Amino acid sequence: MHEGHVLVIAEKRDAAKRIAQALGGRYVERRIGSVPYYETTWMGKRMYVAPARGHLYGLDSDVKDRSLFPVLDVEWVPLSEVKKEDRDISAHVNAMRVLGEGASDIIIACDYDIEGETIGYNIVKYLGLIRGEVKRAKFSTLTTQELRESFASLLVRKEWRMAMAGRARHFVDYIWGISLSRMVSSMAAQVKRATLSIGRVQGPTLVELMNRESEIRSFVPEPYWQVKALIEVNGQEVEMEGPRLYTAEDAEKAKAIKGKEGVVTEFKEQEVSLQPPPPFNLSDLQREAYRIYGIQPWSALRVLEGLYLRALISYPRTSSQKLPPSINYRRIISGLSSMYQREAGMLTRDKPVEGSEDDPAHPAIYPTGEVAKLFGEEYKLYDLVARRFLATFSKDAEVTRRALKVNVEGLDFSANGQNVIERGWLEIYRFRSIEERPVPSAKEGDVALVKDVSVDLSYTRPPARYTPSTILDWMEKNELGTKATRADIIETLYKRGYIADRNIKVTGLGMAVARFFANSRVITLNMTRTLERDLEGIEVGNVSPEKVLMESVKVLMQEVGEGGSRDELLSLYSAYLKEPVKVRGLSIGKCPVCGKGELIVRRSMAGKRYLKCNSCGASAPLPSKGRLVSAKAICPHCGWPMVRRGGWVFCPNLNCPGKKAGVLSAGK
Amino acid sequence: MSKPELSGKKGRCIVCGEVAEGDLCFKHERALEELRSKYTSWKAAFGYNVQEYLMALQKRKETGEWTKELIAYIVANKRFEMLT
Repeated sequence: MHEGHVLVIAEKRDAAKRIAQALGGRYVERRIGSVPYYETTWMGKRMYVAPARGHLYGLDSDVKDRSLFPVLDVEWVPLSEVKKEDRDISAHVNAMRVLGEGASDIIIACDYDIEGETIGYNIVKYLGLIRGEVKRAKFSTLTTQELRESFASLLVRKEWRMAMAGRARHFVDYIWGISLSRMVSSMAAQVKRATLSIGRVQGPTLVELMNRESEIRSFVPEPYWQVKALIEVNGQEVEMEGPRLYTAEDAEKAKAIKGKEGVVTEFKEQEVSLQPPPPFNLSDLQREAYRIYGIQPWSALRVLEGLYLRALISYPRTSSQKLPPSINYRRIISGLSSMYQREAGMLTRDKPVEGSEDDPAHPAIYPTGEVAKLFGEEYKLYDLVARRFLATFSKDAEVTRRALKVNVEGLDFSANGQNVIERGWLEIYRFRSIEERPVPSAKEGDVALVKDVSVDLSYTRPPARYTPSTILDWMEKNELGTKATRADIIETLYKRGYIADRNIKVTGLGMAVARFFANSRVITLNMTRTLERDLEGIEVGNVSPEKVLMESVKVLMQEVGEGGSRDELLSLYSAYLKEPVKVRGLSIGKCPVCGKGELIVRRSMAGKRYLKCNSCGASAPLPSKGRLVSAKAICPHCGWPMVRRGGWVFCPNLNCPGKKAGVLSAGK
Repeated sequence: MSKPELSGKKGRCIVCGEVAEGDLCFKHERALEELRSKYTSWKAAFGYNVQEYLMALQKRKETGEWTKELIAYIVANKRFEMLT
C-alpha cells in the first residue's frame, strides 16, 4: 500500500465504484483476496475506495445455552464469527485493515443515516483507524456532481451521536430479541422444541394484528335497512342516500315515500383548489406503491435502493417531504424532459409544493435527472418518483363541489358531487383520480320528487384486515421502529409464520406468541414508544446512550421476572401444532410416505422444480419446464400420485419399482 | 439467569378446551360479550328470541368463527341462559 493514501469506506460495492468514478473520472479495480477496491485520484491524493458489505460487525453473546435468559453479556464481533453464511465478511474486515494501514486520512462515505454511520464507526473503531480526525462525506444522491461537492466539503466527526444511537438501538434490539425469544421458546419447548423468535417492535405489532384478528373472529353483525332514492330536483334526477333504519316497521314505512314530494333543505356549491401532493418520503412512497401496484413495502425499499445505487433517485430512507433549492430543480427537470417531455412542459411553479415532515439527514425522495431504460417494478417506482416530483411544480387542480340535502316525510337524503374544471397536477401524477358525479343545482325550499326508492336489508361488516401497507401506517402513527426498519419487521413476521396472506391473518402460532405479549404488563405499546423516543434522543444529544441502555435492561429484567402468561402460550401452541398443515402451492396429491401431508410443487433457488411433502419433507425431482398438474391417478407400482405434463403422465418417485422395470411413464 | 418452571394446570374453556381464566378462553369470552351486546339490535329489528337470534347468526358470513363455535356449543348444549 502507498503511504499517505486516503481510505474511503463505502457501504456497498456499487456505491464504492460510483464514488471512485465520480471523484477521479477513471479508476482501477484492485483486489485484496476476494474483496475488490477502487483506486483513483482526487485533488492530487491517491484514494482507495473500499466497500463494506453492509454491517461488518454485529452483536454476539458467549451464552450459547438457549434455555438461559436474559442475555445481557454481549459484544461487537465481526459478523463472520456469528453466522456461517457471513463467513466472507472476514475477507472484507481484512481488506479494510490492510487498506487502513498507512492511510493519512479516513473518510466514511456510507449512507448518511444511523445504519451507515454505525457501519462506518464500527469499522474505524474495531480496526483502530481513529488515529486523528475521521471525515464524513454527506450526500443524498450518487450523482457525480453531488459526490464531488460532498468530498470537497467533508464533515469532521468528533462526536459520534448518530453512531452511538445506532449502536444503542442494535444493543437494545439484540438483548430484547434474544432474551424474549429464548423465554418463549423455552416455554413452548414443554410442548415441542422449537425456536419462537420475537423482537421488541415485532411484539407490539403482532399484538395489534392479533387484536384486529380477534375483532374479526368474534364479530357479530347487526341488521339495518339502507334507504336510497332517485329524486328529481329542478328537472334533474339524482341518486341520493337516505338514512339507515333499524326496525322492520320503519323499513316498511320508508318504502311508501315513492311518488311523494319533499323539500331541499340545503344546497352548497364551492370551488376548491387541490394542491399537488408533497414529494415522497419513504412511508408515503411505500404506501402508494402498494395502493397502485400491490408492491410490498419491503420489496419497494429494495427496488428503491437499487435505483439509488444507480444514481437515478436520491437516498430513499428519508422522512422528509421537502426539496431544498440546493438540489437544483432546473437541472433535474431538464434531465427528466427527455422521458417526460409533455409533463415537463406543463410546470408552472418555481418552487415545489412541500409537506410538513422533515428529516435532518436527507431531503424528500427525488429523481436525480439521470435517466435509464428501466423495466418492471424498477420502472413503476421510478415513474412514481419522477411524476410526483414533477407534479409538485405544477398547477393546482380546480374542482367544483356540490352538496345537496333533501327531506321527504321526515327522512333525510344527501348527495355529494364534484366536477373537475382544471386537471392541473392530475395530468402529471395520474395515479390519483377524481370521480366526477353530477348533482343538480338547487336552492333551499325547492321541491324534490321521489321517483323511486329502495330499502335494502344489510348487515354491518367486520373491520377490514390490515394489509402490509396499513400496518406500516399504524406502526408509523404509534412511533414503532424506524422508517428503515418497519417494512423489514413486517416481512419478518411473515417469514416466521406468525402472519399470512396479503390481507393479514394471524396464524395459530402467531396467536400463541401474540397472546403472550398481550398479557405482559411490561412490554406495552407505551413502553416501546418511550424507548423508541429515548433512542431518537441519543441522536440529537438529549439523552445519554448509557441511560437508555440501563433503562431498557431494567425493563427487560422486569419482564423476565414476571414470566408472562405461560399456560395460555402452551395451550395455544399445542392447538397450533394440531392444526392441519396448510397447503401452499400446487398440490399433486397425498404424500405416500407419511400419509398426512400433501406433495407440493416447489422451485429451488437455482430454478429447478421438485415435489416436497409439507409434512414429512419427502421430495422428488420434477422437470424444470412445462405446466405440471396432478394426473389424478396413483402409480400402480409405488403408490405415489402421478404427475401430468402435457400428454406425458409419470410417477415422480425416483425409487419407483416401475422405473427399474423400465416402465417410465404411462401415455395419455 | 433463569429457566422456566413447569406450568400448573388452570381451567379449560368449555367450548374448545384451551386454557381459560373462567369457563371460557379469551376467544370465546370475547365472542360471548359480542353476542350479548348485539342481541338488542336483532330483537328490535326482527323481534327474535335468543334461539332465533343465534340461528340467524350461524347463517351469516359476517359472523366471526369464534362466535360461530360458541353458538354451536350453546345450541348443542341448550345453554341459552349464557346470553342473559
